[in-house]
Amino acid sequence: MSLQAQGMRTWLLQRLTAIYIAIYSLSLIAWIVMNIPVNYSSWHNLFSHPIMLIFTIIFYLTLFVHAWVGVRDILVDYAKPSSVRFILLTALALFLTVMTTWLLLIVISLVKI
Amino acid sequence: MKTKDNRPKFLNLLKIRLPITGIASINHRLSGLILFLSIPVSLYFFQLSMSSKDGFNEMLSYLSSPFIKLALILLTWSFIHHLFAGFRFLLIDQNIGISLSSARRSAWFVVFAAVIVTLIISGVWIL
Repeated sequence: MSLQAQGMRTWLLQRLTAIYIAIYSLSLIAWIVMNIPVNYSSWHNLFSHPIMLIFTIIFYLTLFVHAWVGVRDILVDYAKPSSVRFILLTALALFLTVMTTWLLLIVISLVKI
Repeated sequence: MKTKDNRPKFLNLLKIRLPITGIASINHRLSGLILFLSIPVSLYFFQLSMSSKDGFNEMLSYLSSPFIKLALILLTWSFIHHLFAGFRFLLIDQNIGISLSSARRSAWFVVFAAVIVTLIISGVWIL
């Protein structure tokens, strides 16, 4: 996604990612509530299932896109002057890149086992 | 032709007296920011809980510490408010509830329902 993404495309992206994030989160919460008390083996079985792993990767990636759009909106409104805003937007992009790398490292460690 | 806009801007969040729709909106931003800040914590807990049985139990003991419980309550409110207010915005996008009176009513509902649901969840699951 380019830094200049704006207007209609961002608007739509924010809503599509929101719907996926809501469905994933509520499903996971429902699973936890139905499986209380959750123990290591049931938790580990759930998240090492390939389909759940794929849903989880998509969840985090959509969450990162959603966070990019949302936090960018906040920075555009409140971060002044524009040099400060630029630094914060760069930090945000860097932060989300690190989070994506971390996520991929976790996934790789789970797939190897 | 571009002309400079000289109308005054007033964005001091501490001094603006917001209508209920504005409160729902600013809480949407605040809760989103809190959820954003919890991203690395969620990744850390995910990694820890999947690493081993000991790691999983370590996560559980973290979750039962008083400080984390307080953070969890704040996080629960953030999630519930963001979910409810987000759903309200999606309905408004679909031209549902766009009259001023219904927008105010749904904003009151979102703001208070988020608090009440948070209290219930906190009472039942967290504390």
